[in-house]
Amino acid sequence: MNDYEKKVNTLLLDIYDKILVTEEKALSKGTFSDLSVAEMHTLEGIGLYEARTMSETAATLGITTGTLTVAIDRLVRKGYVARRRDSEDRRVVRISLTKKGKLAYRMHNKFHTLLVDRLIHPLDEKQRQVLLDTLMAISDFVGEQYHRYNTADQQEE
Amino acid sequence: MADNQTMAKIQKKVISTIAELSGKDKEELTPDTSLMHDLNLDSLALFEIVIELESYYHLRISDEEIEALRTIKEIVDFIDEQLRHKKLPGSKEA
Repeated sequence: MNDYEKKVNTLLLDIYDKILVTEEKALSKGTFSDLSVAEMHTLEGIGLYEARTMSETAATLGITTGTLTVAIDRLVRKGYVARRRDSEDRRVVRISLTKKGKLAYRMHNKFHTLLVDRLIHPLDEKQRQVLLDTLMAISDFVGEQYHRYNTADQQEE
Repeated sequence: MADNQTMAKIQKKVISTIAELSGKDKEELTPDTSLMHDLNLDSLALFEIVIELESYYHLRISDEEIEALRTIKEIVDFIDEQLRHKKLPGSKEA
């Protein structure tokens, strides 16, 4: 690795670590300290409005319905998620956020909004576009790697 | 334009929701009451109010729309407009 590559590598790992830790700390110090970051992301996967099926939500989150069921059990017990059978097809289970779940969702969303606002505030229009293009390129690249390893894992199973 | 009766019902519901969730007296609240400056509502309280009103009127209110709502009158006008847009006859009170 040359110096430039080392810097890119260090910055990428640093950003990844610090965003995770900041999110965790913000959650643990806030009103919803009984939620983990993973649980908060499950609430995001369910969404604010429509009652969604388990399989739809699992697909959104990129996890199995078995893993989601365990997470939802915990979130129902904590009062963030409501679970009910579909009125037209009793085999289908629908999940939605309770008022407490919606409140946690909105507060967490505000945290992300503030984070992004502060990040882009000092940038002019041109710099914002460069940032967006760079992040999109990073996201595409990381997405491809994720897809490649995920597919390989599924083929091994 | 909505009739005065509908607006009055919406205003009654908005005021009772804000009073209940902020711990303020209904009598203290007027259409011109500012959510931030007069009531010092923080984000948590504001979101609680929004979630209750969304659920009651079957509305969706985005974060950007919430930021633009500064007084009780603005909330009432917003709900009235949304209800007319959706062609819903009103609220559970109606």
